[in-house]
Amino acid sequence: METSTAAAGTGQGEKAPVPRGRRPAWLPWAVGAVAVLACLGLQSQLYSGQERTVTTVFMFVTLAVGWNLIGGFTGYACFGQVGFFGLGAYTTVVLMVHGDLSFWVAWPISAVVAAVFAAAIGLPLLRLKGHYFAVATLGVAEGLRELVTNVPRWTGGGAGITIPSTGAKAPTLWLGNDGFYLLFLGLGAVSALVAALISRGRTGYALRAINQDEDAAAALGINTTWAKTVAFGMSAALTGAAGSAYAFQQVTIYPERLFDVNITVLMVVMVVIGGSGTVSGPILGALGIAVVSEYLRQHFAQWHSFTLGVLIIVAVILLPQGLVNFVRDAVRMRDFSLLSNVRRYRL
Amino acid sequence: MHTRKAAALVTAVALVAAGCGSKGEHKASGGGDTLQIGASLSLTGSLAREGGLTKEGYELCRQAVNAKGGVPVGSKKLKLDIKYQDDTSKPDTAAQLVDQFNDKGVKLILGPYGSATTEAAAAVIERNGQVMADSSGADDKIFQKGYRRTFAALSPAHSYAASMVQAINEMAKPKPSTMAFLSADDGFSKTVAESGAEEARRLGFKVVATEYFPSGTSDVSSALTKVKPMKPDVIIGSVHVAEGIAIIKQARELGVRPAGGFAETVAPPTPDFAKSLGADAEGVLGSTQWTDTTTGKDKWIGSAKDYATAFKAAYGGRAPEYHGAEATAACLALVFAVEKAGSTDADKVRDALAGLNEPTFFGPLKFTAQGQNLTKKMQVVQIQKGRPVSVWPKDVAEAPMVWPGTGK
Repeated sequence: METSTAAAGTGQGEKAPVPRGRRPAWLPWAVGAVAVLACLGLQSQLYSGQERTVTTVFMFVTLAVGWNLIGGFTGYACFGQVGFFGLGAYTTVVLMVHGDLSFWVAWPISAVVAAVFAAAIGLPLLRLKGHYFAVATLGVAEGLRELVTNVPRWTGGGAGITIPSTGAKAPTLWLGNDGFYLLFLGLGAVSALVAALISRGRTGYALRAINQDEDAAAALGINTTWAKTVAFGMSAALTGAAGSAYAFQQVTIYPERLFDVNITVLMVVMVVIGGSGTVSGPILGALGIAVVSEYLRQHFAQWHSFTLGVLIIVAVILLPQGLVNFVRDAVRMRDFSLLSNVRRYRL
Repeated sequence: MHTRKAAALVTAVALVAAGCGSKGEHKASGGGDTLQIGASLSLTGSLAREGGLTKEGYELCRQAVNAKGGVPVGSKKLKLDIKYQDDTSKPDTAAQLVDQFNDKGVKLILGPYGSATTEAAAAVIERNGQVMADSSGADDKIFQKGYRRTFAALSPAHSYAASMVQAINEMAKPKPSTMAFLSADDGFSKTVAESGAEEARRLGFKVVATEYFPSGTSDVSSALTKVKPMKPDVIIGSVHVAEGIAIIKQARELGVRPAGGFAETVAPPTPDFAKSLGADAEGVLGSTQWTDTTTGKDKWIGSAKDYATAFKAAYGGRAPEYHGAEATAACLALVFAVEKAGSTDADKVRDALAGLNEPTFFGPLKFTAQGQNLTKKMQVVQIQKGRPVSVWPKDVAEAPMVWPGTGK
């Protein structure tokens, strides 16, 4: 039974043997489908407040997967990713409050606005490399925050703005903790699907090539500008969609929180801990960090941030390549020692 | 075959999980002799200092009530037990925590620190049928949404600057004629400035400018530069402590010298204000929710002076600020309401809060239909000889207002 559906592609009618130890192609899809199913099942087990907590985890899965497209696959560390989150959120708020549009219309528009904005700034910014790119994107996010703060007529400025979500005046009624659970679960699942399709497609190979050596990739005929812009745009679209849904969930939003650099930091940490440049790494990283952080916050009221910081430092020292890459290497080399892993990756 | 087996197992687990279980919330919380209250507070993050001061106030209330045997409910006396959770100064986390308290059956909630977190928590409180005693969310916006389950012990934002304008109107001689308002751009500060300007116009002052700067900034020079040519008699700042200090320092550097002086809501009552500015702080007016001259008495704490004594004894000789006092007052509001309702049921406690009319060390606790406390008056203080002295209303004033308040 350990054969692959890839056999159908041979056109020979024969089943091509799968090398020993290599997983069948359908397995990740099946695991993904089962995970979504399990999350749907989990919903029936949760109290309403727990649902809200898990919803936040799904949101961070989307954000981490989104950041991984540009920061992980492509190797362009975007430190201003929260800018797209805020842009998506405020686009939704402006459309719902001033345009009286339904959330279901404002949501996709917000994702598209974030993507188009990313593509537009990506054309000049993606010519920068390393920390120059990181600093430039950080500046873009700060700029967006200032913009939102300084047009209070549209955005409420620093005083915040509220989306009407109850009563006859509401363009869309608030979805409730049940509704937002399903919304963010769907968004997380779509993000993972997008990452998986990109990873396995031509664009994924192009992005990995750019990550390893951009000049060599260009010499091989890869249109690096196009590939990077697509990755940046997709990454922004997912982040913008998450920001849009978050704004509707919170009802009242403030620029200070929507452009909080800590959100970007969390995305980066989740990707690095889980495994940068992989499909499952950011998902596992987001789950791990969110669960540990919530546990610590509930049990150590004053010390949870410090403890989480220490744990992250330890994790990065022991698993510099991230959890998923560590497991992959360890299985391949049959060496599960963390110590030898540290030696292998020492600076 | 291993993979197939594993996949089948996970599917089975998922299907079982999907098919069984039921949602809802825990029925009860705490033991039979305990009154369980939840508090989401800024213990870490940007508001950690104020969150800590609020926690001190809640704890003092708990100790005072438990020292007297607890809250009488019917034939029993229930000991107060407050569960704290850290909202990391973020509104979304505060809302999440209130939801989590509801899961655990904790229906009576003490408010977080600040208007943004309180606003987020109030929305959840309303949906869940919980009740919140708000200790520091003063923004009027929170109470204009039709919520019926959030009750603020403190005076609302619209009285912060308005009280200083009233004090100047009553006591300043020679009476100034023009005022300029400088405000941080957060919701609370904007409400304070707008309502202050409205009150100034109502009392016949000319408002020559209302300028906003980003909340939390240390540079207010551009707002001061805009105001300078208009030569206002009084500059009124709707500010937090750091911004209040920046206005006085930078006004001096830029040569902005209003003939009457400065007034700066919550900054002057804070000890840091006079300490940082030294002689420059002299004469600056401020407004505060409470001082130890506040009139009123209750059976748990006693008078404002008693509160100050108890606070000093509990916290190493440190004098209380209004943050701690308003937190204690919010906690007392819940305690009085539970006692009056004779029950811990959230709906009955809500109704009892709505009809509450109790004198306390913090002033009267009485709420409007929207949940605001308009009966209690704000006090106006002035820095005199390096310390904030209560100057208005006259019945609680320690000393007369010095005018012009331009200091040395």
